[in-house]
Amino acid sequence: MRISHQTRLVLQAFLDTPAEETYGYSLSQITGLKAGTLYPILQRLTAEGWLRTRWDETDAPRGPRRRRYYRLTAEGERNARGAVEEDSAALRQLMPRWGA
Amino acid sequence: MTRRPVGAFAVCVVLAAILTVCVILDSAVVDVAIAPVAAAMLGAEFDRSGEFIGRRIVLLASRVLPQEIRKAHSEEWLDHVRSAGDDGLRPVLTAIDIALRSAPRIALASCARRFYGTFLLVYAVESVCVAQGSISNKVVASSYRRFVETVREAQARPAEATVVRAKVARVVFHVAKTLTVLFSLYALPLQVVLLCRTMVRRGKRTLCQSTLAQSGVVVAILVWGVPVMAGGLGLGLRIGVCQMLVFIVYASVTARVADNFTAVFRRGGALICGRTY
Repeated sequence: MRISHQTRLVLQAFLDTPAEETYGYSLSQITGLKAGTLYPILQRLTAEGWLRTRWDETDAPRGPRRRRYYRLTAEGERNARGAVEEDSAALRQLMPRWGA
Repeated sequence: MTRRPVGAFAVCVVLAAILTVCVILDSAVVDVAIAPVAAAMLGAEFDRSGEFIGRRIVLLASRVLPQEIRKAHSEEWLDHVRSAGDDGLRPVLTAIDIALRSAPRIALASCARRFYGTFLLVYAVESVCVAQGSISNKVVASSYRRFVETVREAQARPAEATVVRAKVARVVFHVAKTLTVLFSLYALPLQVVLLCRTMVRRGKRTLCQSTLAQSGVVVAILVWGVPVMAGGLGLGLRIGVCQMLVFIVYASVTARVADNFTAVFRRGGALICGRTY
C-alpha cells in the first residue's frame, strides 16, 4: 500500500495510543489534517484491514448521535510500526543523530 | 433544536444572488444602500445557521457515494461537522472541504476502481476471445463470468454479516487485479494496432481533425490522470489501457465530426474566397 506523509501522520497518531479508540474529528485535531484529507485515508486503511471500526452512541448537548470509532488491528499495528520505522530509518541515513 | 433552520440554505442562496447582482450592476447607489445590507444579512445567516448549512452540504455531498456506504459516511461526516462547531463559518468550511475533497475521492475509490476494473476485465477477456477464439479462452471467459457473479453476490450483502465471504471476495479480487494487468498487457498491442488502423483508414488528416485529435489526447490524459492521483500508478496503468479504448472510440467519433466541420469550412471558404481549398 502506498504510504503518504499524511497516512504516516494518521498511523503515528494511532501508534501513540494503540489501546485507545479514536474518532474522525479527534484525529483531525491530533494530526492537523483537514476532513477532506483524513477520511479517504481512514477509508483506505479500513479497507486494507489496518483499522477496525465500531459505531457508538454519544451524548451531545443537542441529543445523542452516532459516532464511528477507529482502532488499529494487530496486523495494522505491525504494518504501521513498519511504515513509521522505514521513515525513521530513512531519516537516520540522512541525519545520523535522528531519534538518538 | 430550538431555532428554526428551515430555509437557511435558500436564504443564503438568495442573498448571495443579490450580492452578485449588486456587483454586476456596479451602481453607486446599490453599492452604498443594498450591497452592505445584503452582505451583513448573509454573514448573519451564516453565523446563525452555519451548522445547518454544513449538514446540508454534507448530505448533498454523500449522494455521490454508492448506496451501500452512503449512510455510514454521511453519519460520520455529520458528526464531524457538528463537532467542528455550532455556528459561524467553521462547520460550513469543514463541510465544503468534505464535499470537495473527501466525497469525490471516496466515491472514486469505491466506485470507479470496481467499475473500471470490471469493465477492463470484460474488455480484456473479450479482446482475447475475439483475437484468438480458442477453446481455452472460452474457458477463461466462463470462469471470469463466475468470478463476477461471486464478487457481485459478496458486494450485495452487508460486509458485517458476511465477513468470510468478503475476505474470499477480497482474495479473488486481488487475483483478478493481477489477471487484469496480465490481460491488459496482452490487449495493449491489439489496441495500438486498432488505433493505427482507424487513423490510416481515415486517410489524410485535416487541420480540424488534427485539433480534435489533440483535444482527444488532453481528454485522455485527464481520464488517465485523475485515477493516478486518486489510486496510484497501479490503477493508472489499468485505466491507461481503458483510456486507449476510449481514445479509439473518441477518434472514430471525432473523425465524423471533423468531416462535417471540414465540409462547413469548405463552404465558408468558397463563399469568402470564391474558391474551395
